[in-house]
Amino acid sequence: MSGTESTVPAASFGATPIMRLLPSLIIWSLLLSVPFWMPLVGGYTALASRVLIFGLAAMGLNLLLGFTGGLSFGHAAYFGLGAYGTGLMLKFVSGSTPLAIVVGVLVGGMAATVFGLLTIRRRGIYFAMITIAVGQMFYFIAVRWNSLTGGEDGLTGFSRTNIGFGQAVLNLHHTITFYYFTLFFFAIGCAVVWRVLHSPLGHTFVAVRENQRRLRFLGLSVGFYIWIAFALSGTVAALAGTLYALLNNFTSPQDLNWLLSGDFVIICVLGGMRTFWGPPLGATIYVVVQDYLSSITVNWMAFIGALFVVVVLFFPFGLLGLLQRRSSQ
Amino acid sequence: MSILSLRNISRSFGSLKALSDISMEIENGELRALIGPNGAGKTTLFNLVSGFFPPSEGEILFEEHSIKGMPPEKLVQRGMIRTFQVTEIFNDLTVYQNIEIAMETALGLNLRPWLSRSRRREVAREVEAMLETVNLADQARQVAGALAHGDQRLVEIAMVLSRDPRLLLLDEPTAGMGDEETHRMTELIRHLHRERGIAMLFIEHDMNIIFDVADRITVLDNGLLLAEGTPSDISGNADVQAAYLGTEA
Amino acid sequence: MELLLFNIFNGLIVGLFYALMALGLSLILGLNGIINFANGSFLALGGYLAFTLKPEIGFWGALVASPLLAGLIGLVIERGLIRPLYGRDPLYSLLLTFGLAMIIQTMLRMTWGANGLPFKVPDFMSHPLSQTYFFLTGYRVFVVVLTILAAGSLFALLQFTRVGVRIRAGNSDLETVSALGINIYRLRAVNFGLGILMAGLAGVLAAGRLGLTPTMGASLLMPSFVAIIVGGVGSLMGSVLGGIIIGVASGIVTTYYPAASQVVIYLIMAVVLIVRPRGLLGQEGLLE
Repeated sequence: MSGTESTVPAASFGATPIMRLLPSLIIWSLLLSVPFWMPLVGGYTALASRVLIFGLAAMGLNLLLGFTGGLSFGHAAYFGLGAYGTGLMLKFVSGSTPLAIVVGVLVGGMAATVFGLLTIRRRGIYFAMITIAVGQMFYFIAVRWNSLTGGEDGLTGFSRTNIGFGQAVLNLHHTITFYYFTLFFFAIGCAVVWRVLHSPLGHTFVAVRENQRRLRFLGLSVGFYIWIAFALSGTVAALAGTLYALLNNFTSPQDLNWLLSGDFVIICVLGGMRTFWGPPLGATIYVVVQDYLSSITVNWMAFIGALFVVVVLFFPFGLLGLLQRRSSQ
Repeated sequence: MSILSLRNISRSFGSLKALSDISMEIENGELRALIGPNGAGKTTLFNLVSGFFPPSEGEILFEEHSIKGMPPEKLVQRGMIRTFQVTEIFNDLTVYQNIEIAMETALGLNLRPWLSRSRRREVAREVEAMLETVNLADQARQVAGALAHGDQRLVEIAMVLSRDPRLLLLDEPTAGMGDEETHRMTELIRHLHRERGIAMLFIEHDMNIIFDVADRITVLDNGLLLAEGTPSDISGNADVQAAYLGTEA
Repeated sequence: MELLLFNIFNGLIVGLFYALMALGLSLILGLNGIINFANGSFLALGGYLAFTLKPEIGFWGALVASPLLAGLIGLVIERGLIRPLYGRDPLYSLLLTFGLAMIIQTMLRMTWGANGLPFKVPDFMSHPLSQTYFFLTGYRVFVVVLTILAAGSLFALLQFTRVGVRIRAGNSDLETVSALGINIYRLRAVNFGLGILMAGLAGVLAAGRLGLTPTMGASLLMPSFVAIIVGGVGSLMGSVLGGIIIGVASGIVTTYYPAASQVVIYLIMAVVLIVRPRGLLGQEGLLE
């Protein structure tokens, strides 16, 4: 099987169904059993929630970055807007967690839809610069709009609330319950991205990445599809952002900053930009490494920087990309 | 009725005049060859017709309607499509996927995040039929960029055919091909012409192919229209022989 | 009125820092084809080097030596890390310089500390030149003059020297330049060094005005991107113009509505992208 098969998985071929389902089966069973094995390997459940959230954000970004070929360095903005939308909703409007999630996703998703229109006016490296600058605009708004956002100190004074179903109550304050709550939304995000990638829409995205001239000369306006990818991808990142605000009961301008955008990009590259599971894998490694480094040295940023350099110079296709190449040779 | 008319087309790049005062008519279902020495303006003419850039002067009509200044995507939707001298396909995808994307585009499905089972079957059937048409069924699962040069061209032709064009512009369809591949390509061109009645304008250097398949020939030289006529007219034309055939042979 | 003039002049000074930084970024963006995220860190490096060199060789010595030193370090990094990335997806050079920025910034903090350091300029320059216009200090005027001089020399270099002409030619058509037998690698290295030199100079000047912190460059980096987008990618003149415009605009807004002084920069960018996507002095289709 060719190494690039998975970029546009055509329904009509592939290995036997069992072989194709096996990796997913393993991944989902690992994810479902996290609270049982996480303490055994020295981790903690909240860290796993963080991995899922970063994995989801990166997967959203990757729809644009890896599959459509749009170099966005500003996706933290939509992640952060999701977080602020949720936080502000909980703090000022209503204590309902589900409602706060919906609002957060809408805020981040709408921003991506509107500002996507601005970024698609240019391509290539220029596109990247505009995404960075647009992202940074939201950062400054969050920093300066003190009365609403709490400025540099971040937004506090809200917390996730339990969800009642008649008699039953979903206790989100419980860390493990919240992990499964996060996993539920992670699964929804995965389903959406998977659905898109295995559809004509996803095929069109990949075509944009592969050859814009040919696509144009097949009768499509390329910019329109980059815009759709941008909006979708920002919306998934916003969903991740809402979960992040709920996880921490806090959000700050750091959740909007370009440094975080860079984290999302390196996560995609590290795991394998052209693969479905690459971003979650990259997130697992990145979040765990960052968590560990920041617990042992204040200078952890230098090591993260070095990680960037090493990935670029030695693993440009990412871990799953490398595996794919191996198996196709 | 003519499918494509150029009326007094000129195009300059700065002080360089790439085409001056070209007029020509291509009839429905006609197979027209465009020939001329390097730098004669053949590719510029293709770029003008296919919407890359507008002419500096003159008018272009497609099926009697002006298409001057229309972008390529609009022209494709109207029924005119082109190939490129350097093949433009999706290199990292399989042959099947290349054609699948073209077919989904032709069926207007690009925005669909899912397809019904019957729609999926329909797409698959069309793709497979197209693979048969261009004789690539055996290579369907190979990565397009890794194919032989001639097969990559066939992939491109399959993709543009998916859009069911009435006018096809082929930029050197047999360039860099061996005898066997060239033969297959000319057979395909003939087949498309005869069975589907597609009008074609093609740039070509190989005189055997030109005299073999073309209904009429247009000769450009130095941005000017030098001659136009049937293959026998052209082979007997002294100007053409002097400017082109003589030096080429 | 004085307050407005004060803020406009302040904005102009900051705008000039943006402009110098954007000039360096633009140079590197053009010929090397990369967005150099590490430019901000090199700017800070220039400032800190001047801080350390000043007691030894004085303000003027440091003003000349530290940008050169920063440029030299830039050359080494270009040779070792950036060069392998030419011709690859711009994503990779972006990520690499992004990582570099983090590394350099941490090293600055480890060497000089996380707290801000003052960078004193010579006494005679710190006095106001006028009673009414108290903000017109010698140093601020000096910054204006020196920026004009630096930008002017850069343009002269590109216009009149052999290497400059090649850099400009390479910007518009790299293939032809290499076909002429010119060593593109050396040209790109020189160009990268020049870009870093500009950043280093901006760093020394900014240190005298804003003081030194490890993150000083990062906060100037984003507006410099905006300066390039507003001025037009591919136009060095545009970068200078863009920097000055957003600096001054930010100064004016500070007078009336300080909270929006940063956001206005991005609003200007949005307007330019909507009305004139290629930027004020940009060419169509460059770097796309």
